[in-house]
Amino acid sequence: MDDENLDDLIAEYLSNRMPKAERIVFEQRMVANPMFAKSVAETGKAHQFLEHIHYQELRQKLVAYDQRMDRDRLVRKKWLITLTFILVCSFFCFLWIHSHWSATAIALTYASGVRIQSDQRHQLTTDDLYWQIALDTYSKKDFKNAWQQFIPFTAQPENPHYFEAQWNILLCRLVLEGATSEWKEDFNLFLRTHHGIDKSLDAKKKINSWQYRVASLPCWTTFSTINPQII
Amino acid sequence: MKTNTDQLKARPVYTDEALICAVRAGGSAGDAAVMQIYATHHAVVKIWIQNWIKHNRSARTDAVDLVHDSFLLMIYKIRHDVEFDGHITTYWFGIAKNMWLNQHKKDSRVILVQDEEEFYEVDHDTPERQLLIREEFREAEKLFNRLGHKCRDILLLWIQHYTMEEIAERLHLTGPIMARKIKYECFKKVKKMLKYSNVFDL
Repeated sequence: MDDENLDDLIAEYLSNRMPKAERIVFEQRMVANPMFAKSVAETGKAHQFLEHIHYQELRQKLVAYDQRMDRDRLVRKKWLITLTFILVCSFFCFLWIHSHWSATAIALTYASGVRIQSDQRHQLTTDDLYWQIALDTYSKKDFKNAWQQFIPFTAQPENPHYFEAQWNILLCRLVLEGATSEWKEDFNLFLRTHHGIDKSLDAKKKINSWQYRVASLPCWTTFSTINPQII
Repeated sequence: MKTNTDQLKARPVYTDEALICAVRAGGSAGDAAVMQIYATHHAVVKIWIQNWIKHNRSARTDAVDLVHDSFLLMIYKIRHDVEFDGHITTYWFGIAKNMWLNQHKKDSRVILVQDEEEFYEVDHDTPERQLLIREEFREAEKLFNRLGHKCRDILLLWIQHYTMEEIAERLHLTGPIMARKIKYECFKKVKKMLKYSNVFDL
């Protein structure tokens, strides 16, 4: 057997890979031949040394792996924090937009009507009473009923609440139907014919803003029940 | 030799048995299996070890070092065909626990009782002896590094049971015969180098 094969054979013996039968023969040879035993010892020493070097390198590999994992974890954590921050900010930003630019918020902000207090000089008429009931219904966000309750005031142009009732009906329609093209036509017609309500121009600005378009997105239907005052 | 951990990036899923077989077989598959075992189980073992250390109220042992030491010992045992039943994680944790117990025993000179079943053999070196071994080893390593990169790489691949074909391919040699020839020459140099060193005779 040449030296090259002998190295492999000894390595096989040292790493416990030799079949049992061959192992016995190998050990018998070591006992019988001191030179061979010495050769095995020398090879064993070198083998052990190389294994030490290998395990040292393996340890470095493990440390490098841990460091890479820690780095990745840190990067993931940073991304998660940033994403959470953006999401929370976006959520509150959208809530704020909704509370100020939604159709309900606009309707509640720009509603027109003065509450009439009864005193000794001024007695409430039936019209005043119905007007108050309509305003109460409106403030309770029951826009459908409020709309119905405002209609009688628009029958006679002489009615003191004629313009206000028309304006409030427009706002009720804005909440219930949205700013449809039909609504916009009626709104513009109202602006052309009645200049008495100053709020209408402010409301128009709000309705034409991008915030109104954001607040009118379909996803906000779930928030439609939230009271903007609470938000 | 490549020491990066890129081989972990796209790894197929193997069972514990298949991984152990691959480690025992050695070569590039064994190399990849070693890292896969570590990647798959180290998080669990680390938590177990941390809990164990915490439970035993010891602040002296670093869990990460213990994870590494016990992993290396486990791989050594697997490569040297030490049989074991059960899971890799429990085996690994058993080794770590035993290493910790031995270390603790040395530090505190308190005899801790342990289950016979959980016993895994670990060398009992005195600190002085360990220091001497480390010094000798450092000297030998310096000499080994002087042999050159090719020698170092070829011998370290051979010790991991890479075939000569794999070594030739990995180190861009002309073929397995050339790889074998270089390995023989390099190993001869290492033997000569260690002949007068008492690195493993202490």
